[in-house]
Amino acid sequence: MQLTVLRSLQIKYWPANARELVLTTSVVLLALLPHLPHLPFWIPLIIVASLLWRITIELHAAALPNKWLRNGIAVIAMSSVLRTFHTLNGLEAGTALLSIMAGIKLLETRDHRDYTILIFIAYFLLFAELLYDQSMWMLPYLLASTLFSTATLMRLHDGGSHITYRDALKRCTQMALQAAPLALLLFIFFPRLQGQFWALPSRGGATSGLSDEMSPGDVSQLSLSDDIAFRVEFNGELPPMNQRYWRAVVLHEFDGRTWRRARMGLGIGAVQKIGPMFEYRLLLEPSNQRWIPVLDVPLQWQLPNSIILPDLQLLAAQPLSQLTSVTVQSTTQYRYGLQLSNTARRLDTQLPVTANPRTHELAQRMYAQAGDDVTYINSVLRMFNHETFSYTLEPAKLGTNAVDDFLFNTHAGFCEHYASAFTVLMRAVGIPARVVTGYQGGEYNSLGHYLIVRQADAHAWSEVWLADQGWVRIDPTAAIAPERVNDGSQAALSGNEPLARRYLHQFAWINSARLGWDALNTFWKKHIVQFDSSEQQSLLSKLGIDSSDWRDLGLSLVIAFVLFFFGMLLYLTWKFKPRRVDPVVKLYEQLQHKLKKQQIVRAVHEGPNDYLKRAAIAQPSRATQLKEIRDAYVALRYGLNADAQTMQRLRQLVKEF
Amino acid sequence: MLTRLSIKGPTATERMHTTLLKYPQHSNFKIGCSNLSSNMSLYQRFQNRVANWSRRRHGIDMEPFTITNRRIYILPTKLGLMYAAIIFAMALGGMNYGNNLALILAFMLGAMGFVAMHHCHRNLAGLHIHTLANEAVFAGQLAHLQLAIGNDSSQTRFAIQAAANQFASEPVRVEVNNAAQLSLPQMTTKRGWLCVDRVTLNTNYPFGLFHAWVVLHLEVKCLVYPKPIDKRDAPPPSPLDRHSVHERRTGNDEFSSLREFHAGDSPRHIAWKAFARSEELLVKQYSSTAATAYILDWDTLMSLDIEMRLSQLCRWIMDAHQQGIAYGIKMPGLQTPPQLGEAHRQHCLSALALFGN
Repeated sequence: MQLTVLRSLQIKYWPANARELVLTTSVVLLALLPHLPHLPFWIPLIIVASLLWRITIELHAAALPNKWLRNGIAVIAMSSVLRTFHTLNGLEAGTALLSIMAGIKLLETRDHRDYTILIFIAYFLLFAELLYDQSMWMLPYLLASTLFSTATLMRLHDGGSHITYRDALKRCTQMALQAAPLALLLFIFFPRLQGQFWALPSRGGATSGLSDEMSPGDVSQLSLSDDIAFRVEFNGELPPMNQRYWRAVVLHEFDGRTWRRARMGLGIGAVQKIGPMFEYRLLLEPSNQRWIPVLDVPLQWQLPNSIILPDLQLLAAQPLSQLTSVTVQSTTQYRYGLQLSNTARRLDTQLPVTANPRTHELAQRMYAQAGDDVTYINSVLRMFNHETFSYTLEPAKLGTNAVDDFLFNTHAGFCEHYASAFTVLMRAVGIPARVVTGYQGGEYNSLGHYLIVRQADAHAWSEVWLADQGWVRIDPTAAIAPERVNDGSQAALSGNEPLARRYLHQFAWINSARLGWDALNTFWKKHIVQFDSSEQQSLLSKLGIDSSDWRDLGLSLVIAFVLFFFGMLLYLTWKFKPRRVDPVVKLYEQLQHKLKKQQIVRAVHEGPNDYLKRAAIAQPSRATQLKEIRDAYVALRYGLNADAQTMQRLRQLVKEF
Repeated sequence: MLTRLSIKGPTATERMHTTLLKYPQHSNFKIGCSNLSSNMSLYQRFQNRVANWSRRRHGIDMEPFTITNRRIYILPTKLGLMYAAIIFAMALGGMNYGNNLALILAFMLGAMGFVAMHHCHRNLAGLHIHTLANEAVFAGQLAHLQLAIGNDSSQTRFAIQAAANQFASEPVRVEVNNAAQLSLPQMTTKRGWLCVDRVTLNTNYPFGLFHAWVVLHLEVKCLVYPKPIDKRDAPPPSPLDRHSVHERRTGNDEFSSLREFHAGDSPRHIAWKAFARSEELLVKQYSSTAATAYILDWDTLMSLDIEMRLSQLCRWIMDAHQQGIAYGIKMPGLQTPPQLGEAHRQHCLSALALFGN
């Protein structure tokens, strides 16, 4: 019964090139798979549709669609790409186009050339994927799919000599191992650029992390994310936990609810260092934003074309679309901006007139009680500390007069509520104040000796300007939840942290495994992904090569190529050398070698009988020995029942001879 | 060795002279000129020049010919150039974005291409080549030249193909310590010896990115019989020859008796039913009044030109052979008594093929 079902399912027509088609298609799909998240949904649909179409064609032995139909589909698909991305240039549009090409190519592949081109498209799709994602797991995926593609390429070109897929995989692995040394040499010696020589339109990908404005709820939203914002490797001592303020964005303009960056220029103020200096290397995850979070006040940094704004925001020349590394020197104790221009003062005391009337009233009352700026600041912080304010991730929704609502109704908020309310209270009495967003704290990875700063560490605080001190950082969150600043974001929120994360932090071994994995990832990012011209220089100078001279690099590359060429030649000569496998023949050759020393050389036409008979005549003393050898050899080589005993006897005889 | 180009040895022309003297029977052997004609394209002329140069350089190869490294040429294919362009684009893109993983992919693929070049070259090196006896064909039919490829190295060889004059054999795989046979089809146009003195052995293994080839200067020969004249046009064979009556009076009419099988009897006359019964090969004999043997006479075809006469004789031989009637030939340079059998047929057809040589 089962058999008949199976038989009825059997495909009547099995196309001659079915295997090639299946293999090539799976290779292309393998290369497409990682692109799925960033392709518009209709592109995978087109590919699946053309795949199904092709399968139908093959099963019914139908004709492939003609040229006009194919070109029509191609034009429609291309204009759709153009409409979606508004360009055909750039990574995303390029990938979409390439994927569509692979799909349409499926409708016309007939011969091995077409299949080969499909495989080349697969290679290029893998390449495009690497421009999106350079994480560590990509390497095995990359190697595996390249291997599969290459094995398929070998199958396509085996010229009917029927290399099995398994054999092809084995051969390609061997060839990849042979190619690896050259690839490594190229990787080390190939010149790296500083910057880009051809800037493609930026990727336009979603930005991540802090944005350049702040409304209530923004930072608390971010603190749910476990994504890594950046890693920091300190050269020397780490600043204490409560000093680890990573400044990113400074916000000046307030409309009663949302804080924004300043649209106008500010005077430049000099930074005066009064404490120790910290030197560190930032490894920034791509954020598609321009700002770079730095420890408090940056003094020096190495990033081409970056700029610093007068309010001490460090900006890169372009949005950070890939992993970026910057070396920075900072200080946490400083004097800055002692002179405040009138424009700056106006900007940082600006408040919307009608919004938050109760806050204005409160500020006036408290300032009248305090009498001077510093006492007023302390009394505001005391109010946060002593009254019924609470620190929570899930505050109630705030109305239009957000600060009034927070100060007089809800009394519950996250750092951005406190920073916002504090700054408004300052401005209400004419103290210049601004909101700074960034990150605070970071988790120390003792395995890799670096600091991990996550989006969960996002933070907002205030800066106020005091006549004799310049700009001073005040963190109102420290007043309500000091553990946030002293022990990190996890400690402050232990009550309402998401369950999974609480679980993660509970067990030491999970924690150390997590940190170990991150250390491995960081190593990968630091030494493979971030192997740039400076890393190359330091590696090459260890090898005694001056990499700043391109002639040296070129010469090294040429030498590497020549060495590899001859190495490969020798290796393959050795590998292809004929090998005697028959031990009997080996023994016979040994005997011939021994006889040769006595000038008894076997002629080409001589068989063992004639040759050994002649040898026996030449050396009568050993005639019996030779006869026994001959008998054993003939029996082993030509006889029906060769046994191990005879073999052993022959071995012994030849050895004694 | 004759094939080696040594610095101290005779000059190329001198060596050519010796080879010519050593192979006097190869009357077709002019340097690469077997299909020289005035209306060749520039590319063909260039190819001929290269062929002549390589033949002058290598001389004639002795059999068995072993492929040495210096005889192998290798160039990238169109796909190989495309592959290189893709890798170049990848390296450029990787460099532009400072993307090391992309660079690793580009370098790995590039190095694979480089390794593939070595493997492509090695795939031919060290193979042994013999020419085998080729079955004669009639002019106009495809001749199949047979080459044996021996592999005594420790690695299997893949996709080895022979090619000559726009024809190529099916690619074969040659196992370790084994040999494979290549069958190279060739177009035949005129009778006589088909001499292919420039066979290339090539391979695109492993990825089709490179094409490696060896030019074999072996004399691969195949005898081409004249093209038999169409059956319709053929006049009946020359009259029955009464005075060379065979002792066996065999014909095609009425069955008379059975006799023992002799080599050369037509299989059509074997009594298969009797064979099935007794496992003894017997031949049916017929009493006949029809022709018992033919003498195919050159002189009866006075009205035709030489080639047409040869074609006519060829047709008569084939027909007589098929009908199992003994035949003899009378023509300048050959006179045979009527006989039957494959050897006789080959002898006669060869004489026709080489007539006038």
